[in-house]
Amino acid sequence: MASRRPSLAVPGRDSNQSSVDGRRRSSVRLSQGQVEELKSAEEDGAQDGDDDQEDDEDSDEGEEEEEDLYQMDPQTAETSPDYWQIHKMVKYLKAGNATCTAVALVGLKDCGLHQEVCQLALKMVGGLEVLLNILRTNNLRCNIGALQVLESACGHVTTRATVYKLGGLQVLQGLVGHNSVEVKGLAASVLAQVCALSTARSALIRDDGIPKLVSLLCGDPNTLCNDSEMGAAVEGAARALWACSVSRAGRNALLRAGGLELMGRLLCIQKTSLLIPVVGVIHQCLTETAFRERVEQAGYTSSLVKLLHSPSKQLQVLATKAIARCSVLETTSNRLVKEGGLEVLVNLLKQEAEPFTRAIIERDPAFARDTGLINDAPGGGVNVSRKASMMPDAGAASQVQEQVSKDNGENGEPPEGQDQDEDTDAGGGEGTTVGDSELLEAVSEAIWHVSMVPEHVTALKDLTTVPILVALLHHDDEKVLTNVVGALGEASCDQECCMILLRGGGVTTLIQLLRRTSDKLLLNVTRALGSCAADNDALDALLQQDGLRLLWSHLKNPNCRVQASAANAICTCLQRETEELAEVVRSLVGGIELLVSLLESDSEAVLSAVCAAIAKIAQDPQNLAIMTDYGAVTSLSKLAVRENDSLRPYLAEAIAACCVSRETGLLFGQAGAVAPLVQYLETDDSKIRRPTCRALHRLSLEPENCVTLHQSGAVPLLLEMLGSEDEVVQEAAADCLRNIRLLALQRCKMQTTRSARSTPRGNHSSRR
Amino acid sequence: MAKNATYKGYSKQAEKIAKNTHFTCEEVDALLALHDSTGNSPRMDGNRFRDIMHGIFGMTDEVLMECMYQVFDMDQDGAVGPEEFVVGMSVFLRGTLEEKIDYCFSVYDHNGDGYVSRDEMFHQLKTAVVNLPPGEELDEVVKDMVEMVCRKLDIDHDGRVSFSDYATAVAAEPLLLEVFGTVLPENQEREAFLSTFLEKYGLRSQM
Repeated sequence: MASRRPSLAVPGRDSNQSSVDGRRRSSVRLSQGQVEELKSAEEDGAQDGDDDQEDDEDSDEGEEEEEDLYQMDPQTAETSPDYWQIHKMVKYLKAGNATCTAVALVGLKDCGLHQEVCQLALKMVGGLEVLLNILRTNNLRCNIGALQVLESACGHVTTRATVYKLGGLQVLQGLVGHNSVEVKGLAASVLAQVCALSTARSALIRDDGIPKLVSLLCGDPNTLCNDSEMGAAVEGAARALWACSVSRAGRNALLRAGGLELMGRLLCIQKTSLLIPVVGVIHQCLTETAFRERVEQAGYTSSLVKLLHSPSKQLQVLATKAIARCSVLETTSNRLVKEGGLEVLVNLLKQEAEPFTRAIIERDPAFARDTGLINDAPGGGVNVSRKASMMPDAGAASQVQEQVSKDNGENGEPPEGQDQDEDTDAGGGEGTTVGDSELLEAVSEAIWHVSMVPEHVTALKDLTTVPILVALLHHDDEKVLTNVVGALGEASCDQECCMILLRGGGVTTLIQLLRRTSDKLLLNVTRALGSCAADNDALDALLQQDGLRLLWSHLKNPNCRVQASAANAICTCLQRETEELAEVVRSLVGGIELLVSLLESDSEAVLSAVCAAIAKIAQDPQNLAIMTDYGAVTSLSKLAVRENDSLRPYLAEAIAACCVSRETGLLFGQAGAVAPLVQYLETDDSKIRRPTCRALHRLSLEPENCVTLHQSGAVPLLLEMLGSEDEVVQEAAADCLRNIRLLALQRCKMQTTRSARSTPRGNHSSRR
Repeated sequence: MAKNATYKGYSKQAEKIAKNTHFTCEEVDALLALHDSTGNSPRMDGNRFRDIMHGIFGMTDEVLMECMYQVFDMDQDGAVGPEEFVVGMSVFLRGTLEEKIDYCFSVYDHNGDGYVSRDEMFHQLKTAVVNLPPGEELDEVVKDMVEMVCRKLDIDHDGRVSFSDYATAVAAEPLLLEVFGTVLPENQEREAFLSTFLEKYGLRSQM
């Protein structure tokens, strides 16, 4: 290394003491190529799992790109005063024996290596090679010193990459098995940093490094608080495992090594710095379904709920995210409700949603009062009894009353502190995002998952969650919106909640959200609108605001699930079957054509939904004619041969609805729909039998079809149907048989008259 | 042949000494055997001491070993007696941090005045620089290192390192313990010795 004279520093270009760790976490957008690489590198899993993984990998992988960015900056590094100090220290590291090395290491530690510039400088002067060489010696003191230096230095991505390329992984792995606890802990810490790189991570997992790290976790959790060295070691190991668990292979390795249980044991320790990586690991592991089951069985959910109260924001967010992931399981969901975890979550939600609730209170105080949002309103407490009850039944009213008084007590403390901060936001509550929407996202996701179980909707209602969710519909962040809408969709099955949604202007907002493009969001919005449409008032609002047209437009969405969901929603909307509605449907440009064309879709869900919609639309004769023009008959008939049991009832309904006249019946017969339909009767499922019988009844109005029916052996099956308990089935089957029989009789009559006419000739044999 | 009267497997002498050390009585006996294997020279001289240090613990710095010998010789009578040896080894092998601080400082403080002066430091660190980087002057380098060390150790800024300076600094930064030279055994050698010396020198092996 040649000695260099520092260049004359350009004035103003002094050592850029750049901001520290904040930069490290920025998620640089990946180029398409890197995303592909990521996707192929990890095995394919559940869609949700992958999405989450990608999000985590994003922020880590972005650093590979950052490496190139930072190569441009050696000049800045050179002009910092620490650079020369570091340079000198590294020289001394190589210059002497163990004593000299120790002195130099102490000097290095003083150089402020947590700054990016210094880390870069260290790399540039070749310090990393020397440090790794030191680690390969046996001198305990020097090893510890070198590890400490590396720990600070590996904060920067370039350092990590260099350490990895220089073979640092093997050295560090070796040191994890060292005798000294201090060395083990430090080595694990450094590994934790280096394994933020995916290449290093994969290498570590391949080299079977995880079991060794897991073995560091063994030991009585109770003694950890006292023994600081052991505590540091466990912390280091936990952090390393957290870094590794980002990838699926890492998670599997962790599970195999029994790491999950050991992690769980550590959940009871009160140290925040230890809890963060532990919860982080659990959070990562929860992407796997198998892990979720195990976590639930082990009962970590309760501990996680306790952590929701933690003062550390990072820990709170992590714990909430973990709970959100595992609440997909019904057992966990039940546990949350039973053990009061749901309340904690809802309180958290209330806290985070402060500005939005405030905005809605200002906009519509009556709504806020009725639904229990108002707590300590200005000008003395709002008189609870004064509230005009909007709820249909008195029972709910009293419940809400109780809740208001509880809220009066509860929300005494938390909003106060936030009030001062968010005073400026109060006016513009609509567009502002509360500082950390990550927490809000996680909480809303958890609540959504809990609401998927119908019984829990009542619990949510009792905690006045619904008005808050309605208020949150104005949030900016799409992920939060997706979760909130999802929760509202599940809750809208309950009529009261639906009313709250309606009154709070939720339906309007939902329809506006239909203009968004995110798949997940659209899926939830269409689902929510679908369940709202079951309620008459909501349906009115929806139709007034052109909701039907917007829903219809989503039938064009490339995503099949969105199509199906939209079709379902449309179907619910059309349940009213009025003249105006039919008019509206007709007026949609290209609407019916679009619907019929969806019968060509590959997705079963779409087909079922479309058939159901068609069945509703066909009630109006004009629309039916239009549909037939567009070839609905042929398409439906083609579908009849499908084996899918879930499709059959809807298909039969559709055929039954469409087949109102002999002409259409004939069309169906010609298209070959009749014979397959007969096979539908071979099932025990009453959901299929009913519409099939009705369909066959309608079809049998056309004599040709009767022949086909008879030939396909419908008669014995229909006879069976006569014995069914369902009246509709009985009637339809009976009618159908009657038609067949009539035709047969007619035929007989015609033959007898023909033979009677021909007997004078006397040669023709009569045919029976 | 058992020399001293042994009952319970160790000698009375061992029992007496063991109270002040981190060793058990058997271990003290083994050390005593190491100290005086022939039974003829109960006073260990410098050469034998150096032999042990070099042979078993791989120490190379003659000057330092001389100083260590001085420290081991607590009553300064020119030779290391059996008790002195065992007590010294107790700190050497299993000392607590305070004991080690005490011991190291005593070694470094050549003239025994309670301070380590700049000259003493310079002298010591000079031997530490082995591969002088090209284009550098040895004296410059050593002076620089001395500066750095002083910055860290000389807390009361009086130009020299007193015992309390040293103790405080080392308590904060353990790496500084042997900052002026290796006077404690390397981890490997220490482990090796501790796990084998009982068999090698213990009374039972002599029987």
